[in-house]
Amino acid sequence: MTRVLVVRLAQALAVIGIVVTLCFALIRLAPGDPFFAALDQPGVPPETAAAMREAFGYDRPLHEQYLRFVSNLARGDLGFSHSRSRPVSEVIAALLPNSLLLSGTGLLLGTVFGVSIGAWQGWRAESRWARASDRALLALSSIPEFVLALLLAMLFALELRWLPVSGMHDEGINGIVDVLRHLVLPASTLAIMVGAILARHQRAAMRELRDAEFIRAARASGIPERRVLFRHALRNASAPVLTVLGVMLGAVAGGTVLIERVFDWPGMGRAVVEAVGQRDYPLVVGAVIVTSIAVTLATVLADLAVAWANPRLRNRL
Amino acid sequence: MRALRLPLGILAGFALAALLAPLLAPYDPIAHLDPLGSALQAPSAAHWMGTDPYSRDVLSRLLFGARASLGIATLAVAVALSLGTLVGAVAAVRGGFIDALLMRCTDAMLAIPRLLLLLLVVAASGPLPPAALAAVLGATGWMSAARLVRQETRRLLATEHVKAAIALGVPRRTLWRGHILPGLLPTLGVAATVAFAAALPLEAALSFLGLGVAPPHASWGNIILEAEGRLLRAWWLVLFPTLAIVGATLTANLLAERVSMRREDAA
Repeated sequence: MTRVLVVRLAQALAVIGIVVTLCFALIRLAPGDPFFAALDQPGVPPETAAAMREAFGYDRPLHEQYLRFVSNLARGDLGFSHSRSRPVSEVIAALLPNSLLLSGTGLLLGTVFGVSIGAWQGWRAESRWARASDRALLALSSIPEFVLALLLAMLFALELRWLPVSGMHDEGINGIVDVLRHLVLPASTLAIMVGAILARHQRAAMRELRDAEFIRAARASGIPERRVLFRHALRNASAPVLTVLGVMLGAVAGGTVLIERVFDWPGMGRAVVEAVGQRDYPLVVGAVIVTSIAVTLATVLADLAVAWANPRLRNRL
Repeated sequence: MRALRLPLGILAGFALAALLAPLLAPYDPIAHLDPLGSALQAPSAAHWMGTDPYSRDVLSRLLFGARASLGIATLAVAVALSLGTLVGAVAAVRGGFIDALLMRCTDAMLAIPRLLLLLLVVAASGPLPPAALAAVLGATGWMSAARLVRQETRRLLATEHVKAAIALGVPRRTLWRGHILPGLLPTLGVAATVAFAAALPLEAALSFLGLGVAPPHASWGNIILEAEGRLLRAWWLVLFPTLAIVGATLTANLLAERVSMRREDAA
């Protein structure tokens, strides 16, 4: 187990190194530097522009800029957000918890939803309902998350008026219940997206297991059906499902960006979309790097969970 | 082949509607027809799918939007498949260090959420013309194709007929053209449908964020953007593009499922 952990962490570190390099390359290969929209204007004297560039190090040779970029990152310095006039790390520290609340709740609900529906579908594969609901899930997983978010907002917030349509708090109110009420629609959107995809993999895994030797042996030895399902089948099906969950994390992060945009949820995703419009590179780069690190580490966790759930796979990682 | 007929037929219908858009569209998709009289009108005999805030005809925009959305997604798939095949095949043939390096890069690309990577590119480059948008979508979507191609190429290189061809000293070009690429085709078919089902909603999302197809040109995503702030009052601006996006994506997903089922049956 320790060996698996060390190998996976080393791989994760290599991946993060490539991500950082790619981000740096993309920004520096772009025409102009982050200042060109603001400074290369007829009204700005060239000396001022040059002084600003010098202050932020944009006049240095490329390899020097790269080393500076990496060493700043290592110290947690993500640069300065031009549009918010604050250090990027401060902006992200303020918004990341909101994004994690949304994506964490969505992932949790989606996993419960997907695993239970998929398990039922796989276990009762011959039932007409199981097959019909599988088709329904395929349709559901074909709805882009921003469209799903809009549809849920239209129905439950605007038409039925059961839930608030945007933001995280009502003005003047600052209670947990209020936040939860605002969380329902965005988190459900994410949960449906995660659950629909997960259920289809859970179903496939369960169908394969249902007729496996060890399941039939367990049944034959008189173990109650319920126990066979929960102790034997579900645990063995969890390895492939956890793998899928790990692979899906990037899509979840992207989905969160769109959902935050639709529901005006004050998280990192909404801030990134705004930053792109204002060409505030450091904030976009910071968000991409932080999200990628989070996704990479979460994938390592998912791999470890797979190894825990299925000891036979431990040596193959 | 019969199982593929329905999804292929529907996709062909979508493609036909896009190609024939100039003939089918009742109005000019970007003309402000009557800004004072007929903005934001509900579906009627004159405008089957209503009009948008600038009094543009939604049906015409949807048809021309199909050109942008389907065209960009298709081009993105072509780019993704070419890149993925190149990376996967080189990794499989070279093996060793090159293989490890290429696969680590593939992992790294997969670790960056694709939408965020696209946002980063748009932040760096500014608004992109449709062809560039397709290229960028393809350049961020080749990874699963690369993995599939690598795996399949390794399998093919170990088969008797390829080994025999190598032993007979068949020139490398002939080996690839005659023996390996044809063997890769079913895999590429699966990869193409999967890539299409991913690229289409991504383009729609980018256009919905105002960072994809630039107005006044229509794409399925930016028609929906016009409904912002008046979702219920202008429900037709959400409903019809949604049906188009979900219809095309669902068909592609269905096709992917059936193609991979056929491939498994054949194996």
